[in-house]
Amino acid sequence: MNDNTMVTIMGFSPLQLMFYFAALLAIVASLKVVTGKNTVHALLYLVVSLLAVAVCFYLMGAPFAAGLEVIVYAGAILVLFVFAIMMFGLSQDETINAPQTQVFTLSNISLWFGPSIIAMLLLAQLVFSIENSAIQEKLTANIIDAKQVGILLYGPYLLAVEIASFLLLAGLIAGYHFAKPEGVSIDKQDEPGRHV
Amino acid sequence: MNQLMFFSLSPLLIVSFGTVLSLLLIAWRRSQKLILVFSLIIFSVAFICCCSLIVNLADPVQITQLIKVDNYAIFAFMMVLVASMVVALLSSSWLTHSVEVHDEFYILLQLVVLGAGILVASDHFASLFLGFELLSISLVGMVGYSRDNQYSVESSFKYLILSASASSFMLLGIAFIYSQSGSLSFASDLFAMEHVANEGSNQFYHAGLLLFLVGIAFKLSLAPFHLWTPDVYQGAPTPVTLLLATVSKVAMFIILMKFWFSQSAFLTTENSMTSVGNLISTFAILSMLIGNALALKQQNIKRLLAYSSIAHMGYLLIVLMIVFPQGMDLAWQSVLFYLCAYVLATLSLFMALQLSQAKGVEMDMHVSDWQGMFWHSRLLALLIITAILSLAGIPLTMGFIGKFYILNVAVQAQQWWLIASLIIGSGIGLFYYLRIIFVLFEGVNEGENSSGLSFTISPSAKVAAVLSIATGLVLGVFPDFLTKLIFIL
Repeated sequence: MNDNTMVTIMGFSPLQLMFYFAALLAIVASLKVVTGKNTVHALLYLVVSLLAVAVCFYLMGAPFAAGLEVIVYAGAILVLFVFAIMMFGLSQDETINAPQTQVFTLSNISLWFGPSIIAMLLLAQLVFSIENSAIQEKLTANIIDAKQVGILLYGPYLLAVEIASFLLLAGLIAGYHFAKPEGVSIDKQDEPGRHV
Repeated sequence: MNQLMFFSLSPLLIVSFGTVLSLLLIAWRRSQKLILVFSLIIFSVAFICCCSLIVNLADPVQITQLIKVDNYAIFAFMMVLVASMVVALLSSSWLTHSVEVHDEFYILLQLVVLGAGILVASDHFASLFLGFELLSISLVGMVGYSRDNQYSVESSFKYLILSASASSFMLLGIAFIYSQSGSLSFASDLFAMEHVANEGSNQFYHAGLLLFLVGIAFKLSLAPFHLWTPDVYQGAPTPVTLLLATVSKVAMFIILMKFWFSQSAFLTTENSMTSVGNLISTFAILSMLIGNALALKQQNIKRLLAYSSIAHMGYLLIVLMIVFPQGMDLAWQSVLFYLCAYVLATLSLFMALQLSQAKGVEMDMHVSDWQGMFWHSRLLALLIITAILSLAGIPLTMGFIGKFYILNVAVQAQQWWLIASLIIGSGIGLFYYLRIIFVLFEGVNEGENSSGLSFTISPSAKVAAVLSIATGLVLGVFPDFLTKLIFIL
């Protein structure tokens, strides 16, 4: 296949168009995360934003990174977020900004309508780029798969992995320090700065 | 990895292994004295390692693509280690005031040192970014460490948000630079860069450079991005402020130098030097003038030091104007000397600040609290005086020699505007620096004397104070000791 015969719209190839569209969706969804009042609804947009980023990765020829983005961010981390929101007990915040009526109204729909329409668009995009043979040909030309990533991580970037583990340790300890309960009572009977 | 690589990486390996061992130590017994002693042992062993490396290491050693250990990096790491030893000692007196066992503080301190070490030795954008984040995240934990302080949450959040936005700017800049050079490594950029320069399409490269510099400028608190500095300095506990003022600044500046000189081959082959150079000069001039001007009427000592650190980083930026290869040795020498002087003076000032703080109270120290200190505690006053004179750049101190180096570099690079603002900035600086010294000699009101001003200095603190006064004076009078050491690098 030569590129000259490929359809271009406004000077962009279909692949580029797909990429920019997914990127636009990611930006829109992220803006909705930041501007949203209700945390759970914001989270819904966050999931969609992460999925859009995953599609971006896929369209850049990195299906492994796209998979990781979906599994780790949209999957695991979002669940943690939901748990955190439930445990923080933001009940007051939630009830103020929650939809007031149980009746099936237009404003009620719009809460889940936005995220789902973006998700639908992303799905359509993904299906289109899998179906389109020209795009597929470009994408499969040089795939960065799990094996290559693994070889890089345990070869030239070995030290980076180690440093990243220390970075996580730092985050963990700082987070623990901020989150631990105020003034442990056992210590108070003891001399300052010592545990028994 | 061969033996040479292990040998040259050993200071970093010692610190990281020490961090893991301290975690185990905490699991075995939680005792503040034990962890303090252990951290000090780690730092001093790493320091000794650095000393032996600096003597034995002839050529820079590249360890994978990520890290390149050269003598400049080792020297900078030695400064970091000394500063963090002082921080550990100072914090031991501060941390006993509350009832908890503060193991996390020392672990975070070790992680800060590790981050700074990775930063100064990195030769690759990946390790640069990881080191940068390690430094920032652990510093965030330390800035808000004392949770009963009224400013603690505010300052740590300010630092967290701003350093996160700084690193996102920096990441975007790195991505732009990568899009032009095709490599994340500093060194191999050179070949690709010439190719790019020939093509002439380097807007992305310039945008990347700009964004990268913005990220660094946040951390160095250079003038348009300095707004967080006084608040965070004031809100953080004194030892942590010391850490922010020394370790973080030293590491960031060294990595800026490394990056800059690796790009300089590109910058000289092309007339893009003028645009990027103008940007650097603007940062420098703004920092010198704004930093000094804002410090003028400042009464709070920590805020004053924050503003003065902005000005000092502005002075140091002048060195970046040298981009021709012949001048690089001089540039490195002047930066390391100036940083040495700055670190030593800052260490002495914060030591004095911590020692003169009333026990058990974490309060804001004002310049007037030091009134008449010379008459009732000579040693501390002398410590403050030598440090202040060094910061102001008065002859017979290290600061003077450092400033002389900078001036020398500026003359060689023929940057007359920068020289003018350096002189004006130092002139303004004299006013508020000398005001502190005058306050030290003022007579004490009888009523105030009995309250608050009585404090005792432990023998170890006395030794440390005498040592830093002596080092400052000796190196100020005979700067050759240090320059010879830097020269053999």
